[in-house]
Amino acid sequence: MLVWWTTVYYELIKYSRMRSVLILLIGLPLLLILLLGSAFDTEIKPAKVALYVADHGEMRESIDQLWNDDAIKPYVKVLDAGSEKEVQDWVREGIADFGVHIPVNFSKQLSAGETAAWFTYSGRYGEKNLAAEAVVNGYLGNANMRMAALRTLGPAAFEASDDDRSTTQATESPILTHNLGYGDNQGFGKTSALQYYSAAYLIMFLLYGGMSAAIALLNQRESGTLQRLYAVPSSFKANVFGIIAGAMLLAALQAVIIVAFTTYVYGVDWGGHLGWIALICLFTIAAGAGFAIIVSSFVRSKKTLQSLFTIIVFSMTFVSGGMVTGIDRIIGGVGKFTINYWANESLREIMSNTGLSGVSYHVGILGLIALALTIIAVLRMPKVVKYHA
Amino acid sequence: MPSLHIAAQLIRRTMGSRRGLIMNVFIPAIFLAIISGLFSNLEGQKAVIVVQNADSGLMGGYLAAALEKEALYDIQLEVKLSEEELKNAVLDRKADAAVYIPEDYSQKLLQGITVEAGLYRMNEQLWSAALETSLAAEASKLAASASMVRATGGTADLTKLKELLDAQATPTIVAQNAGMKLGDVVSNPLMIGLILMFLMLLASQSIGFIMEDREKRTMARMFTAPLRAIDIAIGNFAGSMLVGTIQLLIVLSLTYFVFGYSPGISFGELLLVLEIFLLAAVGLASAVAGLVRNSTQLSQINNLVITPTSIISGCFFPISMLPDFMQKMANFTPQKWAIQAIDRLGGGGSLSDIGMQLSILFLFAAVMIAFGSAVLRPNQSSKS
Repeated sequence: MLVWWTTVYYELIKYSRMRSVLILLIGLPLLLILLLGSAFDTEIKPAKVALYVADHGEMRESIDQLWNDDAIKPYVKVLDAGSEKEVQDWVREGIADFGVHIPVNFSKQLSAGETAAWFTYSGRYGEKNLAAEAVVNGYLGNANMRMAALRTLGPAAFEASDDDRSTTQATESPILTHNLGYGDNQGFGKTSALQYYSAAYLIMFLLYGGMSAAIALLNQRESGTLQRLYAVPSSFKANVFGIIAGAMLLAALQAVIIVAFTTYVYGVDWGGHLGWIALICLFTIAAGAGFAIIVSSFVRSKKTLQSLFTIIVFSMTFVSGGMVTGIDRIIGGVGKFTINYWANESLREIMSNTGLSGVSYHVGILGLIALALTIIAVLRMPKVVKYHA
Repeated sequence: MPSLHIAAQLIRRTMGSRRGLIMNVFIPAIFLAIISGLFSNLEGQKAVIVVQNADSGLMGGYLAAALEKEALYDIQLEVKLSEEELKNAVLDRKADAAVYIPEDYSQKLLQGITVEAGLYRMNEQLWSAALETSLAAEASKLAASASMVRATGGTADLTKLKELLDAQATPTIVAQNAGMKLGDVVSNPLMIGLILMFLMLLASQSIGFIMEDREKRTMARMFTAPLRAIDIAIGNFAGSMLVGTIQLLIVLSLTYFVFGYSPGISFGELLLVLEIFLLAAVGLASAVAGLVRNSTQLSQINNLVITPTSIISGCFFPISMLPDFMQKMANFTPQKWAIQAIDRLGGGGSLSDIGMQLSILFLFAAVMIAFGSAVLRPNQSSKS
């Protein structure tokens, strides 16, 4: 036992001196969580509309009213342009997402009963075009209706209706909207973007942390120090498992720092149940270390292990939706064959507080995966640690 | 030309081995092929909106028809679904939104009674807010039309109402959309963004080899040969550029000619922009190399630099999704300017239109190489 503890202790001291490894294992996930979490955050980002109103006729007042309406503010942000060319330039440069140019003779043409037009410039993003067009079409549709009424019913109808209209218009929106979802973006399910990516990158980097166990073993084998341990009057197995446990403790520390930092600095709600979260992290670390040891029993060189395992973890994260959400709709259930899927799902269920029955199911499967990988890793261990195996 | 030999050696070290060939050429190419394959799947996706028009009168039809004008929605008219089933269709993700027009919709509108059509959606997003705005505008138009007809005739005269509604179908005021030719790289950057990321990874790797040379004193030993320091520096630098160019040519040809990806830019122009970007990437990698102790650290620190800058410069998703301060930070990354230049070319611009972007990339490269020139100096030992 003492041998084991001594090995663990010295492994940890060794890791504490590898500053760039620590930055990579702890700093990078925190940075990625921040970047992706804020990129896909909940707020609706309004479409920026470059607007140039050249018309100063009688319609000007209602046009100004339209664009200054508080009801459209969450969806459309107006940028006042100085000329038609500026509108076009802004849309082309990406300063604005949509452009509207109301020509100088708009009011005149309208009162003359001629065909009048607004010039619109669609930008790069379909969704933002949609929002801006909805505002433009709402106004033009209303104006068209008045023109049509003038033509078909005559001016009398028009005036008579005005009082009547004010009563109907006073009512609330004629559309009753039901929001069925929770959360903010469909891709993230019940969690927020920040929670979603916190879980995804915690798991991804814990798997990387597990890889450091295999790397430590290969390093020692390649430099020949592992073999010398046979000369020491203590259990060789205790030494080897001490090295692995040291790397796993590093990963556990990594988990504690990431969870604590995201909770207190980014304000991520991990949903309580710290015991369950610890269990998930433990299983993930064990699965990661076991998997890395299995891989290294086949490739046997540190460099190949690093690049192969990095590719595997990267692909597992990608397939389980850690980079692009909603990937499961394109590739089907492939994600279920990854470690990340089961760990992420259980973390997200804890975050969304949907009860522990679903959590225990996912954690159970994760535990089985970890157990299976550990058993295979132990069986393959001689291939990793013995010089001439 | 001793520099050429040094350059050739660097190429052999990055791509000569089986591992190098797989990691630096095949994996990027396969990855890009998969991404472009996924993309063609994604492109057809429109928001599916199920519309149930239970209205017995004619107004409901007008409301439903107004939605069909929008090309970005995939409207499915259903007849049999109840309101509850519509709700479930949205909850089960079979539809992105559902609209329910009640049975007595026309009747109540004609009598001037307030009536609401129902809209079901998961949550408020920009497109679903736009849908709500359009629906509300259309519904209040119908209500106003009905009230006008009532005001003239005193009763609800259906023929007059129909006349009025049909007259609106041929509008006198229109929104003319002037077709702007815009590139679609800024809004759909993944393919180009990944190429940029792979280029940066490769540049950092070949700079890593140069560092390794210096660490192991191989570079210093080269002085036993009749070489000047400048030959070694030029050889290494040209080697890094050549390695990138070869990868670029192979990956680009594969994606262009085998997988049929085309951003609407000629091969030569794209290559030119990427080549200038490569210069900046080599500069960045050598500047980072000047800051660290050894080549292992270099590859780790480069991971820290490349992934985050690729995210904030909009290599993976449109930059407009990021908060404003991050968009400003993106101005300091070379990827942003390369993407912007390629986007302009895709929008029909010529090389003279992207002069600014290209000169920024050149400037970036110049500053970074000046910073990192220490790494190419053979006679200096590494800090340790």
